[in-house]
Amino acid sequence: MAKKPATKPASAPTPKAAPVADSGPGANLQRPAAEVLYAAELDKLAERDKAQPKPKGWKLTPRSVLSFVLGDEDMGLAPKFVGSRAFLERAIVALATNRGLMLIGEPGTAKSYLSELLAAGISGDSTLTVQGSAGTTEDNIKYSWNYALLLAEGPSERSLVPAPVYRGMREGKIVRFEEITRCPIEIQDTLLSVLSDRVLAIPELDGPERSLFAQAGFNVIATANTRDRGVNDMSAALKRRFNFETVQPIGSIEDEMALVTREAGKMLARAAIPVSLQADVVEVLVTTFHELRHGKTGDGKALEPLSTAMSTAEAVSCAYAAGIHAYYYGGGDVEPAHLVQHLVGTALKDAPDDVKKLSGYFNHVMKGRKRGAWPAYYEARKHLP
Amino acid sequence: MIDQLCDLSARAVFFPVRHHSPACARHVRALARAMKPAAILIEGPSDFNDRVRELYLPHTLPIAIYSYVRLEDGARRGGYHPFCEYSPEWVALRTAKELKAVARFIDLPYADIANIDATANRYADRGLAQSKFVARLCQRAGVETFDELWDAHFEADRDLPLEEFVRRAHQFCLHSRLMDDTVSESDRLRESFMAEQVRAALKEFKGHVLVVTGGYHSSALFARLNGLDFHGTKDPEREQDAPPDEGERGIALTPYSYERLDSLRGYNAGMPNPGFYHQAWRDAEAGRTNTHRELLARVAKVLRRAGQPISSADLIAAEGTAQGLAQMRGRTAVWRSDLVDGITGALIKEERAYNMRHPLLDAVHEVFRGGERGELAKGTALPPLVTDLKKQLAEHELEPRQVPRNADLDLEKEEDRERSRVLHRVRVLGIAGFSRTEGTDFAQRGNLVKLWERWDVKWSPDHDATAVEAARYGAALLDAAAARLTERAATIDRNAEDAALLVLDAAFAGLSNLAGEFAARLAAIVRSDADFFNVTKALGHLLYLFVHDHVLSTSGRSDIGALFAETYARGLWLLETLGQPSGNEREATTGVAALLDAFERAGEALNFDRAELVGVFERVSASAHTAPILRGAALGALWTLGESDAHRARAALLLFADPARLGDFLTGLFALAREAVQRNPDLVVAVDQVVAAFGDDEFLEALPALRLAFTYFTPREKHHLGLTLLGALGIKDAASLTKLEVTAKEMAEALAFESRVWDAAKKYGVRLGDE
Repeated sequence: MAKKPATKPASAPTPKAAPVADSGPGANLQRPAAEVLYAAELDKLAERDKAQPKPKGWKLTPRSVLSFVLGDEDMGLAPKFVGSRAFLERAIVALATNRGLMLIGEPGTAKSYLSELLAAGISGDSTLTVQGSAGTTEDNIKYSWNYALLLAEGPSERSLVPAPVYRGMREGKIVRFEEITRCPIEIQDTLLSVLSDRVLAIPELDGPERSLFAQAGFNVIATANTRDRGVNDMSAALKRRFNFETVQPIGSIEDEMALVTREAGKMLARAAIPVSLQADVVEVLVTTFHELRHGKTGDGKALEPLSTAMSTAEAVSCAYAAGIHAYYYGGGDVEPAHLVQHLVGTALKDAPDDVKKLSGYFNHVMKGRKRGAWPAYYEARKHLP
Repeated sequence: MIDQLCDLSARAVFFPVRHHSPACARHVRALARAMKPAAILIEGPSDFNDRVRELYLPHTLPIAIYSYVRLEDGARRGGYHPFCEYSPEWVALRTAKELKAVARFIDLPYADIANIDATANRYADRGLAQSKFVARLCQRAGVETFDELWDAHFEADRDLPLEEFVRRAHQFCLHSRLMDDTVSESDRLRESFMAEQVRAALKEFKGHVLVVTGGYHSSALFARLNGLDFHGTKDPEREQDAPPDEGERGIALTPYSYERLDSLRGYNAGMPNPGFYHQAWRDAEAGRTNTHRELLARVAKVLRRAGQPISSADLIAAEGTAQGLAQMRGRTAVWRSDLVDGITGALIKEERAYNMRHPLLDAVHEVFRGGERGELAKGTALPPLVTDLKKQLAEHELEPRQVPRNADLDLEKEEDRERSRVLHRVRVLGIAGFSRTEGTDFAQRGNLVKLWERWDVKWSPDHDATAVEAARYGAALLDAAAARLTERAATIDRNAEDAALLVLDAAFAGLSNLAGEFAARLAAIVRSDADFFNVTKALGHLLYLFVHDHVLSTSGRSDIGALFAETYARGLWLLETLGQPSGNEREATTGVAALLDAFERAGEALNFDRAELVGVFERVSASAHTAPILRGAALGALWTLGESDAHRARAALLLFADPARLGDFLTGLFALAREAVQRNPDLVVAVDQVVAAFGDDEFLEALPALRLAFTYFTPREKHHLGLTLLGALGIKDAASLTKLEVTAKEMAEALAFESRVWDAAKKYGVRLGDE
């Protein structure tokens, strides 16, 4: 279950002021849930929305959910996610309709984080989470039984152990289904009747309890990774019940540079390494990731995309590793050579083809760049395997 | 100032419009009907004023007023004032007629400012779209583009009262104007002229005057008329150029299309999606609501026609999402972006690549673009292109007649070349009645001994229609052909060869340079092509044009050189990442040869870097992941360049001494280093040694590829190589080949049997015969 540690908020800017005080809620937790971390902001928005019509079962209006995720200067809300407004509007509206929301995208684009924010904003609860894996069973999704009670008293509401979907339907909340395409198709398909008829059959129980009808406010946010196993491994019937939204990597190099500098700087500070990343070094790193990710250079030359995602999170860890390298084995300044050495380990993984594409990139794209740290970066290509 | 601007009872009322905005059109009509002005002054070319009545003929919209001019430096420029039925300017014209008011255009003739302002769409709203105010407002309002901002505040709410609309528009335009850093020289000149016209009209007419101009100019005109100090109203110091001769400029109506209106975007940003606003206007006129349903239905139709299964449930979901978005964005009705986003959210079921097209969105855009094509009413003066076409065809004795005839052109003669250029321009524009039936194939370049063409020229009923149709590309034949080629370039998707063929077409048509947008688009196509074979084929065409051509006047032209250099660099890069081409090995050697050829023929003129080329070939020839044929070719290229020698070739031979790879390697090597191989006969001996070490099966496996490798030599060269080989082996007289008594098949079977016997004997350690 514990997935994506420190790099997770990669595409999420840090709030300007730390919302959690030393003694506040969740102060002793390693990573408090979004609704705990941003409780004050959510309260403020709920106050504003008091008299506003809301979709049934929602804690906030769609507009306030949007303000919560993207931030709102006037209300003093910090932006939490970098992305296009239209995309988020579509995502939020989808949740108010009778379809679920499917967030797809490359790894490292903060899909899970976004689904957490949305669930916290809409239902005030982001903990109804199913983690999809090859081992996920129906029990993890709907409900299972407390076998001691089941044997003693027979099937009853008391002996039933609710799983996230059961609870979400009963309480009218958003349920998050992480990495849904990692589950076998037949397990995914248990969501079919839940999403279309909004009813969960519990054949073991009698009378009106046999069917659990979803309360207003219930819906599902699923996330799927386009790199591992594609969204193709999903039945057409289920696809039909979701609105698909692609979470794009950060579009502007400037935004991404700021984020990488900040996040890598934070990690270096945590490791007590007094190394700072110079802007020109970050520029070459982020530009490399950006161009290879989009398969296109700044001036429109097509590149062969690599087999890895080249995500922002990986750029951060590459900068972090280069910083440590510079501190312990170098003169203390992060040089382009350090970046090149760690590009291979952090980003390229084990694909020999990628190395070839990367050297093509160095030989034909970077050669012409004469500004800032580019020449040194180009010279450092000898460190490529 | 705002209050004064919004005073609708003033003698001169300024109505700010965004060009092509249906909301502005509706309100300008309402205002005119309410105030009954004596004259309506409209931003438009004043040199068309004496022909305004032509606009009242029963045309099918969209049409445009086209102004063209030839500048002192010989460059030609053309500018369009396009009208569709929801254009405020058009509606103002109609309303003037209805109210029996005088309608008059008050802008400077385009020809007078064409030398400092090249914007082709004269109704582009550049000033508004570029203002910092708009950018800031977008941020605050949470929308992403100027168009969305405009939609949200002006278009989507149909019930906005007139006064409120005018006030809002003035406020918006005034601030945009004030926050625009530099008001361009041409804007200031035009405003000075327009203010003068308004002043004159106020003197001439007794009653009220309604001034309909782009919102960017309204406040400035008001300030000028009232003698106020205002941002950007300082007249530029400019000697008025003597207006060019009458023959060098002109103005005429021309048919237009929504496709073209929509394509004039980007820098010239006009209002996008004419199909959408067309529908919105018509619905508003008829009092219908739910414009989006009609459009959604059309999108569904387009998609179903394309074989996409779109169910009713999908449409319901799209509709629902769109409604939800409209509500969230605070609108009463679903508008343009709501519908696009609704469809995007509900119907796209897969990952969307960043910034890429998606077939579904293409369908949406097709519907939003609309397919209307304008047609001029009978009795309108013919579009300038048609006049020019007639003149040029007559000049070169190429008029189409009822009786078909052939025109044989000898391209070595200048006058025939000129005729050929005219014919190619006509062909590019798709004007019926002319076709090139025979002649030198410049794309294949098989036989360039005689350069000639044969054209079929005959009258066809479509001739006039297609000529008028083509008029939307420009006023002069040459300009129109250039515009058409640019348009074609925009439809090419990542295929460098197509781009090169387009350059060839441009050369045929006699375009003396690849103008900005065209050249930029071609370079972009080349850069985005990831196919080595396309790129090197393109390189071949461009090499011909840049180096070898002598009839198309393209040799040594810097614009072609630039594209050529771009293609060459792209080819080098792709070669390095090519890896294992499958099925087209031979083409791969042709590609490498094209690169080498490009360097040798044009490298000096274009400053190609020899070290770079050698570096690429070195890396390719040494790369273990690359196909043997490419490695051979790279080595051959190095040898030809003098960067490698026979010694290295022999060493490499041993690397490839494997029956599955030897032939391929040699094919590559021979293709690129044919001459060097002949000068070094001992290489053939080395090949012989490698082959002699093969077993029978191995030999048979290697044979086809070896055969292919040696086809690169002429029979004479092969004979020579054979003699060298015999000499090296010490065989004096070549024995004549044995004449077989049995068929080749029997012989092969016998040999195969024998070979199996030998193998079996060897396997079991039996010594046989003389071994």
